[in-house]
Amino acid sequence: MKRDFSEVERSSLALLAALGYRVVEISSWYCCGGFPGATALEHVKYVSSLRTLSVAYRQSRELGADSVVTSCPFCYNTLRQAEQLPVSRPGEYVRVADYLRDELEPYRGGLRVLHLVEVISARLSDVAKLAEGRLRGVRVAAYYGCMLLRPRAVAVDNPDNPQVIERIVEALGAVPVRYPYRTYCCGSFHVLAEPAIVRGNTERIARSIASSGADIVVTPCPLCLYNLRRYTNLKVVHLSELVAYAANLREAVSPETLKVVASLRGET
Amino acid sequence: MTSGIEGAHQVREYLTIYFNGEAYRVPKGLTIMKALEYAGFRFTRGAGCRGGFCGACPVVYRLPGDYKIRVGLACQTAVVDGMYISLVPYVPLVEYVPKRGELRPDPGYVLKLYPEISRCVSCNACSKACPQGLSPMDAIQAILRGDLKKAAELTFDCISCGLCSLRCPAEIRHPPVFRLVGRVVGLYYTPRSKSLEERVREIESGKYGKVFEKLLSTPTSEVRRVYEEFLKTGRLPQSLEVG
Amino acid sequence: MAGLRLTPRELRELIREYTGREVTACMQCGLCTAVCPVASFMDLHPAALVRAVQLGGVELPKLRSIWICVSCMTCVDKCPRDVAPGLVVETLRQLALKNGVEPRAYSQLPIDETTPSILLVTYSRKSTG
Repeated sequence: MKRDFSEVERSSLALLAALGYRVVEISSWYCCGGFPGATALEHVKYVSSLRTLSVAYRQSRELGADSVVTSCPFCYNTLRQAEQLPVSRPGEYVRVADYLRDELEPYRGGLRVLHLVEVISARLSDVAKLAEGRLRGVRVAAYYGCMLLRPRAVAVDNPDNPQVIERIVEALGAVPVRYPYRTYCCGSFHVLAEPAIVRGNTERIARSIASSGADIVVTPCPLCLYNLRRYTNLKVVHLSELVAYAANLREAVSPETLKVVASLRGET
Repeated sequence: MTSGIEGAHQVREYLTIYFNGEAYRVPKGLTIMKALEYAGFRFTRGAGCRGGFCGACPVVYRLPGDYKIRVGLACQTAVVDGMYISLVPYVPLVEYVPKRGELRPDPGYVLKLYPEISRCVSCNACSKACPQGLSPMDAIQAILRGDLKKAAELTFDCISCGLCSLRCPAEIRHPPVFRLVGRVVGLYYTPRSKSLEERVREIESGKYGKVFEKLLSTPTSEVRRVYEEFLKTGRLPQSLEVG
Repeated sequence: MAGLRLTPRELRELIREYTGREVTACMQCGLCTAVCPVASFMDLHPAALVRAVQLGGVELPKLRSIWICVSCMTCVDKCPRDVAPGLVVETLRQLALKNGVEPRAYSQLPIDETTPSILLVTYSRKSTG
């Protein structure tokens, strides 16, 4: 995220600051690897997330913080599942925690793992005040992707019919459009080795979006953004950028997004 | 078992080490390298500076009654009674050595050459193996985050022994990665040394050419005489002064 | 590759041990295949794969489906019998990786400076050991 999607980091931080949150970067965080271990064969995949949570917890006690917020759906999914691990799969948790004990005090719970979407949607009226209807009339299609919704245990909203991004879009004064393929997988990492899958899936999503009459697509996931931009000619922006733009935090929004959104406002 | 060495009668205490499965009695207080030489081995490979800086003599060992596999440098680790030792003179690490002009100040460039970096599970086995006490894991994670400067800073003291790569479950080639990062950061981020650049310019302009040619054509014995004279008086003969 | 030669019973027990799911519960309703975003690219679609595991007929080194699954977890959430084909695939994938079967090497991938780390990381997690 820091490297390839720095605009997401910038806009998310600006947005959180505008909403009055104090955000501190975890002093040393570790790449979670994108996918949590789905089976007991893979408990090693929890090492990095639990390491990150352990550091975060130690730091949170010094700072008086109570939540870990991330703008990456992969991090969110992995950290959230790791956060639940002591309860959901205690056997695996104990094995990973025992391994980590050599170096640091293992995480035992006590932090809330949040995605940026949850933070924004909890403060809709403030977001609406910041937005002052700057996007009035723009028809926005929300594309959720996978990682915020599945598995059910870590979903930010109802995985079958999520509404959270639509509500954010409404708060911005824009018009959410709903279409069937909102939660359909874009093909994810296959863009590297099996591009046909990603091309097929993104085209399917694009057709669905086109028929809904949307002006712009908004997604919370950088990998979805990458895939959709690569294989379709949709106007796609990251959720944090759109909200930051609407909240008049233009200096935090990347020039390309500014251009895309500006062209929309000219049209509508 | 061997013992014949001059002064051996002065040794008060012996202990037993196991090297490649054989037992050897060696005096207490030696480093692994010296103990093995005492036992009659000659290092033709896997020994260098003998001062803990060149990274040529990594060694893995276990201690009796301890499950942990430990690592160190043979020239820096003292023998312990009952130690099981194996030398690791060489770790196979395929390295890419791009030309200076090809280096790019971009983490993506490093990831392109060494994509296995992205397999890091942050198990920290590398840091536990590092005889220099570095944290290769944090450096690898810094690269993943796009922070090459931090990675270079964290691995400045790397001696390229390769023990981290040997222990890495993700099979990351740490030493070549760190060398590459060091080169990139050195080229693009570290402040240039003005005096060095000035001297290079001087050399290129041919300022030292005459003196250098003169030195090369002087017989060795004469050079030695001039040098000894210089040590005594602090002065060079007129013919060797740079004008 | 001794780990790949499992009897149907051993395979079922392995899946139960590692995922807590029971493949014999599958009633072949086909919902998993219906919701799978990549089923059309697989050699054995999710429901067929579960059936094959029930009957013990998977040849792991040749199976493409385990590398095609993107772990979107849709089938895991939808399965009415809690078989969770996605987790079955995950177990098979881990089994293959642990026995040295990999879909391809990094050298065959089109990696360049602009490849996002998020992409490399997720690919590595799913397709390398």
